[in-house]
Amino acid sequence: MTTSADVAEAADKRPGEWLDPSTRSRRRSNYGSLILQFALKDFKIRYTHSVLGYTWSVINPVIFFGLYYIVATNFLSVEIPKYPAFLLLSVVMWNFFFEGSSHGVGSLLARADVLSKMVMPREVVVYSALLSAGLTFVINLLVLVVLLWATGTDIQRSVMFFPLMLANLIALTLGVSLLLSPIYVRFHDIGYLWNIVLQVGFWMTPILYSELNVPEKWRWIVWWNPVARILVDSRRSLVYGLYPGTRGVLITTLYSFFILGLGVLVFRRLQAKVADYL
Amino acid sequence: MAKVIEMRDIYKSFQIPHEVHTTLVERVLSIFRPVSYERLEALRGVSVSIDEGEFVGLIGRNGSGKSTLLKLMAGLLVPDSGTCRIRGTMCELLELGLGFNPELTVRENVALYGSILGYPKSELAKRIEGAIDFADLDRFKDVKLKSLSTGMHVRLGFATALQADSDILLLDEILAVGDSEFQGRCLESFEEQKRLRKTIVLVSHDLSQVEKFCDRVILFDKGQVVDSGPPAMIISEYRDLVSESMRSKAAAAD
Repeated sequence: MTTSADVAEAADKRPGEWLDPSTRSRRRSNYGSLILQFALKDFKIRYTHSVLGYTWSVINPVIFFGLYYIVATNFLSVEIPKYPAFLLLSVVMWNFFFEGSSHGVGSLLARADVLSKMVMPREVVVYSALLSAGLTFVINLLVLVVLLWATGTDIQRSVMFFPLMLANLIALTLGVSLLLSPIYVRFHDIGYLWNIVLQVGFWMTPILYSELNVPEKWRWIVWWNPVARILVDSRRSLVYGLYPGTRGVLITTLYSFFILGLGVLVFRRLQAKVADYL
Repeated sequence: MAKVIEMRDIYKSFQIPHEVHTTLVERVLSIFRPVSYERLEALRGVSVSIDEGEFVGLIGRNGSGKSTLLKLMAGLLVPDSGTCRIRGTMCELLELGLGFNPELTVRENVALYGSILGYPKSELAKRIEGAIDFADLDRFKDVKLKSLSTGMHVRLGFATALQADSDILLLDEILAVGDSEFQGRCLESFEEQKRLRKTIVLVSHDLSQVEKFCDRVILFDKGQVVDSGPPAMIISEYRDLVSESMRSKAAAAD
């Protein structure tokens, strides 16, 4: 015979533990597959009506590389050893930062359709924006490898610093995206502002030119710019076979991961309110 | 009876859209101006608790706070004060469909949104088929969603949500769109959900459906719960409320 207490107990078991509905999204397990799916769908939508489709992600940096190369060597008379490899590496890395951060910063707003109607871990859309920029980045790096091979660049053991620089670049891009995307939802100025920062950043970062072209009294601009720091050390280790200074690498790494940490904190704080403004 | 949703003393307000300062400049300038923007008090001290297996209807005029409450239950919004607690898995279907992407096909949409809703990986394919089948969109499986009608959209949304097989289902105005055949099927599935002792919270303006299906109805007005009880009683109370406000408006016009 079942007593009413048994019934109550059984009923009490089935619904499980009490939880705050705004935290329930984090209990879902298929996190990774969600990020991947969003990134792939993003990708598909982006190239859906184009003939060349995905090839554009290679064509784009290659054309800019060609353009910058012509302008820099013929018009500006930039003289930098191993300039093709120097330039392509810089363009490809900048391109990732540019694409990743601009999509990342706008990702919450771009996905308002889902985020305003369904509960899900909101950082997923930021990660997926970055992942889709990352796919382009990987293909561009393959093009770079071909160029390094074609120009007979001698890869030294210093190349072991390069993965660390890539990690720093990813951390930095992710950090900026997490930091600004929830603010962008509330203040649309962030979009315009970030666009300007990127355009100014392109000229203020030694991409076309070398940090050595920057006069001593302006050099601080380079050292305060995390992307510049990453680029300089990437070129040293990959293109020139030189070891970047340990202290410099340490500062760059701390810098990038500090911004990532800040981004994570700000995102955590602001994400609950995101749906109010979408 | 075990409670599965408990909302206690909930307050929630929004800034009315045209008053929202969307640019930093406006925001900065507003510091120098007397604070003029209004706050819309969507919910003012609402307490609601819902038992396992209950089928509850939320009714009230537009802007009475029922949809806001549903979003708070879903965890999409957080209250200014008060506590929300839920038990068990939950699936929300708010405002016409799930926010499907028009550029993706029917199947891709179900796959993506099914993943968000937590379809288990092992059953993903089966559930996607199940949803498309229920929505009766087999023929349009590989058609982009933008080519489908609004009704089909809603059908697919409901079908996708049902396949999530959650303990609690939150539904906002799903009966308003969709032809009578689909409505019939919805109602059938409501019966099924009831048999499975699932909890359903439904926001609707279709009073006859509410009366037919809900075990209990909660009436909202101006961000507060007016009354809660058996459908017939609460619905007539709602009708009185509406006609009274029309009378007082007419009186004011005279």
